[in-house]
Amino acid sequence: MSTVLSYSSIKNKLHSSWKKHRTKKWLGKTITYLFVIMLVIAILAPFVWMVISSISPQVELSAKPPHWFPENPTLSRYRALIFGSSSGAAVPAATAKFLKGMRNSLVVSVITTVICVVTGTMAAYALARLPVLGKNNFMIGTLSAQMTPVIVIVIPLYLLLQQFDMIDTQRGLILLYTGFMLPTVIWVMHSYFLTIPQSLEEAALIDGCNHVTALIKVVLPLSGPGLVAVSAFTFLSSWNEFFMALIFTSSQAKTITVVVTEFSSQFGVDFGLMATGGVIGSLPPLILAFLFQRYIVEGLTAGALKGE
Amino acid sequence: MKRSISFTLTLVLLLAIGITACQNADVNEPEVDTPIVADEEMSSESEAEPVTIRALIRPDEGENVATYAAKFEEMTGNKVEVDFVSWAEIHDKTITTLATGGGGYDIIFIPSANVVEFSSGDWFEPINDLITEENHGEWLASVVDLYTVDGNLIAMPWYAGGAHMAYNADILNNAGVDINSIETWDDLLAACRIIKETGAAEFCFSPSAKYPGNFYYNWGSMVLSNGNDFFDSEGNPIFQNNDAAVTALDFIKTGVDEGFFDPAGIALDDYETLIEFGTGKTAFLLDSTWAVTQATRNTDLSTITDSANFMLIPGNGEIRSSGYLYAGGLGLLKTSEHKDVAKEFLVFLTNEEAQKQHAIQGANLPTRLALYEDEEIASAWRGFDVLAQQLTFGKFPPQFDWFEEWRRSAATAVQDVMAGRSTSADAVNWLVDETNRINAQ
Amino acid sequence: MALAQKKSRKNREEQKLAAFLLAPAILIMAVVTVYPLLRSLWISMLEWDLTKPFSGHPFIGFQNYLAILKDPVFWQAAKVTAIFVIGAVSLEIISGLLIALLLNKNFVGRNLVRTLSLLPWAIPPVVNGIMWKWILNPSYGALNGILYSLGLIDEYIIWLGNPILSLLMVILADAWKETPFIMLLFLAALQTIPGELYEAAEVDGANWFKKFWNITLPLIKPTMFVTLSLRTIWALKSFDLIYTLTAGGPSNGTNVIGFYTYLKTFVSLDLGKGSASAYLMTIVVMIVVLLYQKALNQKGTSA
Repeated sequence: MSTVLSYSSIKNKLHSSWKKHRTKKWLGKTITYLFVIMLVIAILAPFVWMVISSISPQVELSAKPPHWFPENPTLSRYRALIFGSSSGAAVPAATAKFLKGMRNSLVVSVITTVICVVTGTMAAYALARLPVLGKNNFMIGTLSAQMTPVIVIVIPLYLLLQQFDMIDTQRGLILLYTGFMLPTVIWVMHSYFLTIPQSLEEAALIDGCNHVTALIKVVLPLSGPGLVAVSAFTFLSSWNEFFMALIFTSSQAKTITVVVTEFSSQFGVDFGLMATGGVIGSLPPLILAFLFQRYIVEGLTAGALKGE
Repeated sequence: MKRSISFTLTLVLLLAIGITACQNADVNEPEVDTPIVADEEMSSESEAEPVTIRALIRPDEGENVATYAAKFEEMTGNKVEVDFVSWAEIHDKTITTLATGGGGYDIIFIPSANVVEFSSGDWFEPINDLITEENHGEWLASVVDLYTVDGNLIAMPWYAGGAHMAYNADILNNAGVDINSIETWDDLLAACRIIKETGAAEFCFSPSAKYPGNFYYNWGSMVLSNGNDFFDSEGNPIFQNNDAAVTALDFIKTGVDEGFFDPAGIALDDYETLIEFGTGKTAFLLDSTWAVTQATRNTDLSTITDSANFMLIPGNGEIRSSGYLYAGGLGLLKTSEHKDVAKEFLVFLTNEEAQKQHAIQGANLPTRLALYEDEEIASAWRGFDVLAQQLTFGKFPPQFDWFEEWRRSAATAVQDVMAGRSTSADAVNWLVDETNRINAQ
Repeated sequence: MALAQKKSRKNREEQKLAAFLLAPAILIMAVVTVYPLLRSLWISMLEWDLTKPFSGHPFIGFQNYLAILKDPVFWQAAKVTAIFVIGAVSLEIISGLLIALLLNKNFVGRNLVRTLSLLPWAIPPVVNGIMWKWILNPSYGALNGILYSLGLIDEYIIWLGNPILSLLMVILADAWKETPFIMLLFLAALQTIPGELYEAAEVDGANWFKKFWNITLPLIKPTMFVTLSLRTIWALKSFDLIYTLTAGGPSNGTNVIGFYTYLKTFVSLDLGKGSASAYLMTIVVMIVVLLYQKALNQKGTSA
């Protein structure tokens, strides 16, 4: 009797717990999706609002509350910035400046990235595989150098660039950015190299390769994700930098972040125009980040975590 | 031996990298300016070789500068390259540039607030020959004096301006307020009460108080028009010795507490209060010449261009009006390599024709007296006479090299009062301490 | 004997190679960071008024440091910085971790969400500042607009109008930009935790909290630690956002040390005191870096 009862009660219990489990799972899923939707809104909303602002006429932006969806959307600001001034918009010479700013940013960021990745990888390989005196101190040193606020060294840097005749040049900015990004590149690549088994290289070394050819033929092909991550990171940081670009460049080498801030007064306080500049200026780093999303997170995690 | 070889190799590598970078920079330049490059090559054979002069100017006057730079290029064959740096950044950019040797500029913009600061390093070439004793009378004397340091003219007076008051005639009509009845700050407060009670506008006035420079459009001009000043001619603080400073702060506080003034003013700059006024949210606007002018003519920034009008800043009964003035000048750098061409451009940009166009476009008041009688300007610029009259009541801020820093503390005092963090008297006392501290440095 | 000789020759060659590989990076960093840093350390002991370039710059020892330490505004800035760093970093770490836990489940569109999470991190800080300034605008801002439309507020709020509220808003804008990336770092760490560990715990009857406390937390500790240190360092030297959003105001309520340093240099035009203030800040940053390094080493030996 008791055994039968207990058997059926267990069966009942099991059944109800399975049912409960299913409801719970369903509930959990709903909550998850709700949170995910909220998260996505929180992440996107500010930027989307900037995009909407960039296509809204000023009058609609000054309404209370603002028109969330513009009644008369306009692409005139984009046209004005990219193709030249249109229908009476007060945007004198903005186009040329804007495009020049974009081009300067592109040239500076690309070259900075190339130099940083090449020299940084060389240094990181040496630190990971070869006997270097004071290796640890060197690593900390590079990190702390990067931690100093730029404002402090603006004047000494200015004097330095002046000596090299590099004020308002792309190569001046490239030199500065390279110096400031190198520590990150070295840290990330160093830790990446540590994750690659040394035995592979040893085989190559025994086959008569030297360290340099081993680096190129064996190690680099295996470091793809790390290289992509540091490249993307370097490009992004150079593209986004503002203060040094403001102080060290003027009409010739001015980058897009500086140009964007100029819209605040030169052409009236058209927030829409600033938003337009902001949107276009953000596109290259955004595209890059989205394309290499996987590598950026992986590579930078490795760099931050496995640093010696 | 081997070490030195590897070191040389490294240097070569670096050089190679540097050169590729340089080439890239250089190769890119001609793409945009191809016609100009060709131009330079062609004209390089003539005797007076065309040069490029470089100027650092804030962007608000961008349109006028661009127009006259183009005309100048056409006239003389010399090229003018202008860097526009926005208001928020130009001070830092200028001071870095000056302190490190001029940055290759020929002409640098000197706002009235920074005359002492920018001239203390002896960076600017005296240009006494541009305004001589004979033609001194053609200029606004106060502005010329402002730019004369130790007997030397260090900048060409380019424009004048100051704090002005504008009102929205529609709102005042709806509230039944007669604009001619407002001559003192007390009158204004009474008008605000009526506007508030009749609901003619959301707010009567919005005191912009976000940035140190907004001092011109709140406390600063209010103290002046209450018949007092912050400093004596020696630069000693006198604002603690009279009631005006406390009265003006109390006035702001009362306006905010009674709901007459937009409390958001604490976080608004002079552009943003213009937008408030331009959308009909506020009835009065105390702002720069540029801003009040935009309210009457720029339909992008103002939907009330027809009902916006100018008035004198209220006084205290004893004096009719007052307010802070400002000016803009263009200085010639000692390090300039093309001083003659740069001077020519300075004269060209400040000549009657350029200033007239500048005034008609309505950004700033001219520095040449003759233009105040000009029919064309008066007819193109509604209310020009009121703005010109305001200029005669106004005063320039004190001239010392710590004004920028002091102004920041003054802004903090205003914000403290508006936010209810301190009483007017406490804020004034705090500013006295601050003044002594800054002065002692 | 011959072997040892060969080995040491090989060693010497490797050292030479290492020097060759390191030289370009060292040269660039020495020129761009080390030299200016040393120079500004020297400047911090000089009397250097930017407006008086010809007056000479007399050596005054540590007087600049003493003057800064005596300045009440500096201590207020230190307080604001402390609140900002603690507030922003804890908000970012906690919400980053919670979101990561949430996303560490299988659901449709997870990759898309992960990709979108990079958006705030990738946009330029200057654009971020402009964007938030616009959103927080007291008269036309979207934040007021949305709360008003939803009926949550009757009157527009002046977000940057009082010192405490504006500091909160700066923290919010900072968190919007930094949290998603922190979340991705946590997510990467969470995904390395083998599922069997949780299954085993479930067999033992552990609830969600126990699993989190006993399994998740210990295993993501390294990530937590690194993120915490790096974020602390970056938050300590915050400047861009405050520069564009609040300019340190109102009433100095958002005047962090990074901004104070800037004011000393560019508004007071005192390069000596500006450098001294920056070095005081750098000392704090260095301490954090050293702690970070020490803890990482400990982790290395215990593993």
